[in-house]
Amino acid sequence: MTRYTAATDAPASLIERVRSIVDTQLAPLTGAIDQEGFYPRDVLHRLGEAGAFAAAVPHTHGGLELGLATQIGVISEIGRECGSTAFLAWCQSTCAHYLRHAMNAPVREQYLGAVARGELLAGTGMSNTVKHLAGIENIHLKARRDAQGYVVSGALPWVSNIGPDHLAVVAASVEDEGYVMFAVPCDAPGVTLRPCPEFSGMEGTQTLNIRMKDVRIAPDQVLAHPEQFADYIATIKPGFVLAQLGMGFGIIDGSLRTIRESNVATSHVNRFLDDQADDLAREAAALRANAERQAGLAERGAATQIDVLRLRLAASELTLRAAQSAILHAGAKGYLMRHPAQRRLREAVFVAIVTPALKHLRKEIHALEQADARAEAA
Amino acid sequence: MSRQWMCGPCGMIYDESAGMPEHGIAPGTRFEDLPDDWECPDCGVGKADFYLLPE
Repeated sequence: MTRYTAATDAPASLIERVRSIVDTQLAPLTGAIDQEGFYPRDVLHRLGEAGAFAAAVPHTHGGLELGLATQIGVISEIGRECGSTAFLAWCQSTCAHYLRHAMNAPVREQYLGAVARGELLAGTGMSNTVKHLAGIENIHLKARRDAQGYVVSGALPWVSNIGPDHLAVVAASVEDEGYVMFAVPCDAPGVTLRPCPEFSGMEGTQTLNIRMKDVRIAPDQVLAHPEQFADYIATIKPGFVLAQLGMGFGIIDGSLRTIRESNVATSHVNRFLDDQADDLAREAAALRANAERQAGLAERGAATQIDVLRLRLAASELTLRAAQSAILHAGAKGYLMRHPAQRRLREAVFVAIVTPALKHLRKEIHALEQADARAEAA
Repeated sequence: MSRQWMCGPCGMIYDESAGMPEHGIAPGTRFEDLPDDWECPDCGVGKADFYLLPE
């Protein structure tokens, strides 16, 4: 296909290109992705050529400069058909997001263009760090200074969209200094990739266990040094969280389709279910409008953390309700492995457990509310 | 008394009575007696990320 022309693109034409790839190339693979763990590498490259990971990347780095809201829309368009591939699109575009905002130019210049175009596939291994920073778990990668760079050891249980010729973007604690965030080619000396125990869904995301033993990280691989990390994580986190909304919106759209198709045959009984299509669609539209607002604020550095987290939580909850309603509308046939409703349910649960998980969001929101209450009382 | 330890990140269970003969850990090996650099065979985290399960 013809590569997109960065300077003349518009959100609608990007979405149309993505839709065409989804309908013709991705839709036939959804069964293999879900049930055989097929990793849709070629589809990712085609999506990259179409600009699907570059919506929020500036023209100066070959991106479309259409904004984070458009990137959310792209991920949603993919998720309408396949939640697993929507997650891969999130991984890829979020790595581009990290690189775009990298505090150090060399790593950005080296990787951003290739990641944004989908030529270099990339996984984000930031789940552990984000949970660690929220007081949920220990950090698993440890670094020590070495000349101008670092030496890193440890393991991350599961990182998606990685492989021997992929890039991973991860973070490690640096003794008493804080954290360093860096890019590392997955075939770098000291990096080992191992299979994970089988998941109940999302098996086509090439999610692997990554282990590091004395991996040397040169300065030109560093996105943020310890003294830059606090500002950096505050900059990237809203985009990290908000782009995940696309996965939820896509699964909700797919679930609404199942509900409407099911009603063709059994609306006379489906009307007794709690979550009807019109109600779900109305709630989803409200979340999408809020997502557009928050994405705009995030790009201007003006998003409020608690609003972003509340929106992400609401999207998780609605995605669960929509997917459950879809299978209840479908009835017994929705329980067949060939029916999308059961896959949607597993994908929806993923949206609620991927970092930041539903429980994580509630914990962080609670902490922020408590802090606000203390500030008001003082 | 045999005890079970759970890996926090991935949920893998280390059962002291069973050990892990396939990984060179004899049945009956207490968790405390595993090498300090022992790693979860499924996800690679260290002993500090394991939790003793209640009986």
